[in-house]
Amino acid sequence: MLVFDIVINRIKIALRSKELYIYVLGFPLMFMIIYGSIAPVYYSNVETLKIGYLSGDLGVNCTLGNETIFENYSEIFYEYLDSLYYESQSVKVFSIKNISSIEEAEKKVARLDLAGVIFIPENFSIMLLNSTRALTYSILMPIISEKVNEAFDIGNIELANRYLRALEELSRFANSTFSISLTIIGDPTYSKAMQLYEISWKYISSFVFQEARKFAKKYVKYLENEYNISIGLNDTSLSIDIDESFNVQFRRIGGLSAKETFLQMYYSILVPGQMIQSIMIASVSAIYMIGYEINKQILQRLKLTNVTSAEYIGGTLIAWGIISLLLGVFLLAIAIAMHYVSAAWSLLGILIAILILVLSGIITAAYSLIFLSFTNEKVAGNFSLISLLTISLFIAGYFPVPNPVLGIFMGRTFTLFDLVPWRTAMTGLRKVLILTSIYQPIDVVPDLALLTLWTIIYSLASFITFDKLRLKKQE
Amino acid sequence: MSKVVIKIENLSKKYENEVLALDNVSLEVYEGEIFSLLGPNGAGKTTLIRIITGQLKPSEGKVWMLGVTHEEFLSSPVRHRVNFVPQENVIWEHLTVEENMMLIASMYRIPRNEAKVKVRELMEEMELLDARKRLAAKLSGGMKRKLAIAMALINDPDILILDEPTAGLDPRMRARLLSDIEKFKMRGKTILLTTHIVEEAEKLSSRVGIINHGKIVDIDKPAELKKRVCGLEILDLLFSKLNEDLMSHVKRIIGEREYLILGDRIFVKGNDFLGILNEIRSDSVLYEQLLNATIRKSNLEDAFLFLTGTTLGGD
Repeated sequence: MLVFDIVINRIKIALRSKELYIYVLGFPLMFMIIYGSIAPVYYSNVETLKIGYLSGDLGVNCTLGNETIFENYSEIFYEYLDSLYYESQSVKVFSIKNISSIEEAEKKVARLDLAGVIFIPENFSIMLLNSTRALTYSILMPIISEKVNEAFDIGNIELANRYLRALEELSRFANSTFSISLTIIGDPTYSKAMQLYEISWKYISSFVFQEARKFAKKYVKYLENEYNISIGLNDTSLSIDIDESFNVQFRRIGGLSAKETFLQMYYSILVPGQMIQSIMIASVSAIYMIGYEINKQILQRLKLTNVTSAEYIGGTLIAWGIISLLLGVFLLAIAIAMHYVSAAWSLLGILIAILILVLSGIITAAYSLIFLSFTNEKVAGNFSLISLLTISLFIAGYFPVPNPVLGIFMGRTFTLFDLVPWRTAMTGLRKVLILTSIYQPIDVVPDLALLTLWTIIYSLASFITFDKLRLKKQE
Repeated sequence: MSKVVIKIENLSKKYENEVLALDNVSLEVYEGEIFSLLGPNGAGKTTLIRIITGQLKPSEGKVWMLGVTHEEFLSSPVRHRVNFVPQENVIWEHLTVEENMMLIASMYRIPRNEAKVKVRELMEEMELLDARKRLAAKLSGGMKRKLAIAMALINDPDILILDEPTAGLDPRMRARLLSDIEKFKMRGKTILLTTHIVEEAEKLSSRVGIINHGKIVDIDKPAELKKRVCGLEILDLLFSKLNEDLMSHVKRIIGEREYLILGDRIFVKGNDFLGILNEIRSDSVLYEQLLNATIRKSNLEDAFLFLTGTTLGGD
């Protein structure tokens, strides 16, 4: 079959061409490693983030002995966030705006007025109190147990009993759980929203620890007075590796719960973005292969043969689909080897990811052929590269342009940005590679459907333009 | 009379930059002949080939290839009976010799088994068999040319169009290629080739078309053309400094014979030049200034010179 021969030979040419290797493997690898390395630098910049704060916290009654006080931790958290400055700098971390409803939050986030909105649930204070109690328990339990043993060792049974009673009271916190749930309302492909995720995680951890420490000190004072004992709590005993003590949970808008580690979140944008960008850059090399055939008059010669435009263009696009497949497998292997993709992934997820990368490759090759229909390969190559790099920044949310919702299809909300096919590809990749705890394979179907539609549209457009302006045109 | 396979009528091509590449060209190529277009670089040969093969639209005039007009050529099945080899080697450099051949065979929808046999035959004929596993990029210039021609023969075309087929080849490779082209003719193929090399046109051509500045100046069989335009012999005189005084001496000696001046050289056409040479020797003024005098058989370069007033090198 002729189209099969064209595909095979195109792939052979690509695999034997040094220039194409640079595009197909060199650039992608370079981008992946460089972006992976510089990403922490990007996230450590000191720009004040405009965020919203939406509190539904009902507060909690906190009883200590005979004393009961009402605490609203969301207010304390608000003040804490508002007082944050970047270290050694006079730049505030957050500029906070109070938000009154979810609708308002979504509106402002959709317009990118805000990096995101922190939504405090109604049981926030209860969760925080439980977490501080749990933390206090884990701090004080070994200290008081040690004191009991010391009292027994010196034969002071009465003192040991007082410590034991304090321990008994402390054990009421044994069932308290570490669990803080927040909802960050934000466009997850907007880079500042991603930044908010990261630093919110960091600051909620610090805040919980700060409150736990305050509570622990207060509780120690209470126990010392109540049981006439000395616990001797100092700052060293309050130092706990918080990352290993408890995990902050984030809940995204849509009500789907996600337990994401920092690393998973951190790369949820970067890795899919890098992969799509790599495929985009690699597929531009189609221009140079076809450009070579134009320059060397091979294309002119082929006009005398039986090869049809559909076979020529179809063979080229399928070849680039297969090259993207090879590259996709290569990129995924690197991403997994470098722990960029640390989520639990399934074979189906990997296969869907590869399919997305293949379709992205075909779309990019088709996009490049459209340019090559109008101009020579140098201009088309440069223009395609520059435009695709701009698009890749656009889909990563670097440009603050409005992204209105266009409609809902198969349960997925489609926005203006979805008209850029690579953005759909990135969204799909995130779902299957990173957010596997949120999404099921069925959730990727709308993205795949849209991407397939784009593949057909771009392939047809490239066929029509290239056929008319290159294959059938006489100078 | 043989059948006309390529007919060109009043063909002109003016490019967007107003350069007139072809000016009212008319010619016919007959079945089974080797027709050479002889002209210097920039004469319009490649433009003519590009129009004939459907790559370029003429500004005026018409071309019929095997009875099909240039407008219909690329969409007509007739195009499969024609092949051409441009000046640039039309090969995929990153494919091997065999892969190049098999791919082009596939593009002509030659069944795979048949293609394998055909490819092997052509590689043998063009002495490419030993190099069949080598990448085209690694071949010498001559071997690349042979591969390009072998690829053009894969569909067994009735008409083979070769644009400067020996350009850039060393003399040994050129001689081998010319004998290959002669073999194609013996197989009954019609060959249209362009060249600026006189020996090539003389050796191969059934007929030659002299082209200069986009115009066909003359068309004939090489021997007839030489005889008609230059006579059998040429007297080639080279002086140290040719001036009017010297010219008056020359004119007196050569009489009515036709001549042409090119710098300090005078070409005189005709025959029986021995008497003239004796007279020059006895003219002390002329003899003193004469650097070289040659009597030789006329060739197509002389014909070109007398027809256009310039050499094929453009002097």
